[in-house]
Amino acid sequence: MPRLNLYQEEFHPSPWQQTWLAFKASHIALAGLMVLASISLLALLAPVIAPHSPLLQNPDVLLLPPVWDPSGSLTYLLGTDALGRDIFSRLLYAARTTLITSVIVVVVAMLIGVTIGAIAGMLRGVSSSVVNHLLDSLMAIPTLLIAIVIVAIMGSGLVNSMWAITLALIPQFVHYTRNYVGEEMKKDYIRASQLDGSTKRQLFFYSILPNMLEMLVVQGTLALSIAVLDISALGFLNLGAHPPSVELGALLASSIDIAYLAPWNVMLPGLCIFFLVLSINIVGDGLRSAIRKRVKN
Amino acid sequence: MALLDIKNLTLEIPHEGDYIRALDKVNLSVNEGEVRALVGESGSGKSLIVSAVSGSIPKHWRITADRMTWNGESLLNLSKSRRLQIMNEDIAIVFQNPLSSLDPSVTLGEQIQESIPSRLVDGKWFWQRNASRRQTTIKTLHKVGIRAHGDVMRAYPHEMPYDVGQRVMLAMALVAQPKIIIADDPTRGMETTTKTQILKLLTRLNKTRSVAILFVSHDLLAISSMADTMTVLYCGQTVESGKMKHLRKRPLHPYTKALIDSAPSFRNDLPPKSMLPNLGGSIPTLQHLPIGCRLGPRCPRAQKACVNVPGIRHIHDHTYSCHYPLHRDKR
Amino acid sequence: MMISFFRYGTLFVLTLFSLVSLSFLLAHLFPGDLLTNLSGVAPKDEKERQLLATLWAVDQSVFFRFFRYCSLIFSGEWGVSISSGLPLYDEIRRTLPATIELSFYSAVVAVVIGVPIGCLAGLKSYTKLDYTINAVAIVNYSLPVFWLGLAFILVFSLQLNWLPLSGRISLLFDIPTVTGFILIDILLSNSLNKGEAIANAIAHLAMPVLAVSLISGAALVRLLRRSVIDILDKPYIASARSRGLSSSRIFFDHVLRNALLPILPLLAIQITTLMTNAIIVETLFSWPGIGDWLLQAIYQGDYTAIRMGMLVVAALIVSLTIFVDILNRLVDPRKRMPTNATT
Repeated sequence: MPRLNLYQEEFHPSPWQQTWLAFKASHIALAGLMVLASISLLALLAPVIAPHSPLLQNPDVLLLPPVWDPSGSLTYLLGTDALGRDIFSRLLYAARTTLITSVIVVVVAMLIGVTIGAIAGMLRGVSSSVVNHLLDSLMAIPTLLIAIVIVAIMGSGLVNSMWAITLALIPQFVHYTRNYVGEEMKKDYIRASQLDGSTKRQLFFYSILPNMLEMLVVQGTLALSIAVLDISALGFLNLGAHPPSVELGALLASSIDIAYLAPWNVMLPGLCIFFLVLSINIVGDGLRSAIRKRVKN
Repeated sequence: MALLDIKNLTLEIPHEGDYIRALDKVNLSVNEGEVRALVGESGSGKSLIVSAVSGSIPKHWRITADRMTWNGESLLNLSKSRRLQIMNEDIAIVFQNPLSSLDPSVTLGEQIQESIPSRLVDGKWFWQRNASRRQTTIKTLHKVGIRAHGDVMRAYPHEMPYDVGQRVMLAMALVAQPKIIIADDPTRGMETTTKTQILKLLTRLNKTRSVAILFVSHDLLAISSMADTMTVLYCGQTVESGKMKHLRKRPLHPYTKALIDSAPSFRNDLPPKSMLPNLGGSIPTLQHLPIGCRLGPRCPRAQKACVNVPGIRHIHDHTYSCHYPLHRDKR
Repeated sequence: MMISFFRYGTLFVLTLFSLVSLSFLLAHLFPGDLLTNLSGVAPKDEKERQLLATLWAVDQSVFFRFFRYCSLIFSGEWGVSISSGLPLYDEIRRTLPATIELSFYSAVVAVVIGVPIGCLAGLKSYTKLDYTINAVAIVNYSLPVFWLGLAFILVFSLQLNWLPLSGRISLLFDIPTVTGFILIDILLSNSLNKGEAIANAIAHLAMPVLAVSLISGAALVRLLRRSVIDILDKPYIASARSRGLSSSRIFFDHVLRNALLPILPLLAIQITTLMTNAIIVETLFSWPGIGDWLLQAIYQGDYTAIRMGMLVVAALIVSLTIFVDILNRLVDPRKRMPTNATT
């Protein structure tokens, strides 16, 4: 039901609405969002959509090419692998695993990182104490090393690789949150609230957090793309998901030997990772541009 | 002969499909050796005129003018190289906030040195030219009142106090030996002592080197002491323009009168503890510009005719645009 | 100035100390016998066990053990690898230069390609050229490095047969290892056909370096572009233009410096990503570097190797980041202590 709006100037969108409007204005960002949404939907609905079970081995149709090749067939849309398993179903399930684990990793890392960063930022302000610098330089240890260490201690597996990547992502959230909170604490509106008698907890949840949400969303998308890449990298190095669970990087690794014979085995999982990360990056970029445009106006 | 001659300059900003007239038929002219003040409240578009002259208007804004010339040359469709040349040699602009107008990663001395146009540097070999540049910089720094030139030249912009920064900006403007200095509110936010020093400096420059000055500000007190002529700008429209002493003694436009009335030291006959007269309301925002004379909603003398933009009328060289100017009362 | 050096020196020492403590902790956390994890040798009889136990101070208090551990590490006595039995110091000495070489060349290529293209995109922002560059950059940036490497192998090695598949140099060339950096070693050796050897080595380097540098280069392009666009909006650029300075002057003297300075800290994070990608690429191309070695160690459960390898790589990366930090401090005039400023 369209509202009759006689006075155009009366429409004052809230900051979130402004960001969304600016985001919508970029066609590429919207397209990225659509792609991301469709991949996520397909992946989440994998148990419903997949035509075959990802583990079902059919020795009659080993290394069948995808449907667009003359020797392919419609029952196995994207062909089969060396053990006769349907690649399309495996891809769906693998995308599901990768996507869900990445989201969980980012959410956990964000929660822990923001908590630590907020406490650090509020208790001491932005101090360039040695401890802060220490944390920052320890932040420089690559994901892979942390993953190797954790796998060595606790053995390989999906959950352990998730812990590894969570540990690797936490320092980033701590760093950005601490900086942001430190900067905001210096501002006058916080001082006004403090003079009004708010406790630190109220300060954080009612004054700082709403402003921080935007930064968190942007950092979150960045972290998500890194998480997807890292989880698939760990899967590729056989440090991550074990069979029978499927994961995109692991799918790729298991088919390297037959890469020349049946390139679709390696190309398709990689393409899937690529599209996933690309759409996340495009959406993240679009968000950042939208926020920038809103702040400029 | 007018150095800078602007007639009917209109600047339109695109906003949600339509254009907003930020500047509406502005007239301004500066003659050689003249100190002209451009007065208006914040938001009246003074800085926009400066940007239009220097050519730093974003491309999607629309500029039209009957005439916008520098020394006879039209500034509107100038080639890039010619514009660079003019800006380098003839016109110098001093901006509001010295800290943000200076590159934070380059020393002050270097920044002054690079503003010297090559024709003023003597010497053939580059070491001679460097030495000559350095000499000129030191001389100019002394002229603007900075004695400790060594410290200043080695320092970075954020290491120097505000007024030193402003003097450095002036020095940068001076080394090019310009014909006109456009000062965009250079004394904003300064204490009175520093303000007077800068203003004295500008006046001295005008008298000794006959450099024309276009002083853009809203500080009437500062201006009234040094300006020869004044142009009053309200919300993108020129309302009055003429010799300073005429405007002070006998303003013709209600807005000018309100401005002059609001500065107590201009009036000698104020009884103690009396209310200071002023115009109610505030300057309209760009999204809600009134049609016709933009002072209309606030003007105490406004009547139905003010819905149309008043034309420009003049008495000798005192121009005004008002349907109901003040001198009509005297009849 | 002296104070900053002192601070950074302390920071460096402290970080190293925490890394060493972490690796000490790891020796206890890894599954298996503590002594084997520390020394790398599964003692065959009681006498050997006693010897090793005294050396590594296993039977004494934790603090003494830690102290002994530190002194052993810093004197180069790193134990032996559980799976191969070779001393760890030699193993790492052999494999680390290969990784450094790969990462270094990738970094150089990434900077040489990324910085100019990023600046170009920033200068011509919002034009078709800029959109193309941005699109290519974001595509490159989203590529998983192992997939890119695999694609390269499939196309350049297997299909077109242009470039070799693995290793650092063809086995036909016998180059004695002096420094471990193959290009330098070729130049230092008395081989007869140095030119051929170098060409061969470069051919082996091409694909791994290209895979890593394309991704890091794309990241640099995006960083630089954003930085340049931000700088171009600043008032002092408008003021420089109004003083009539020429465009190239403005760019090289003002824009470039101010664009590079704020992203120096971000470059440090890029170094991390670059090294991670380099390690992944090593497995693909059988590049005998420390990443490949570490991963083999994990598959074989070689805990000593993992511990020492992690310590060395982490120490290297952390030193690099601190170095970039110091560089940032030195070069950036805005970070200098204000001397005479009044507000």
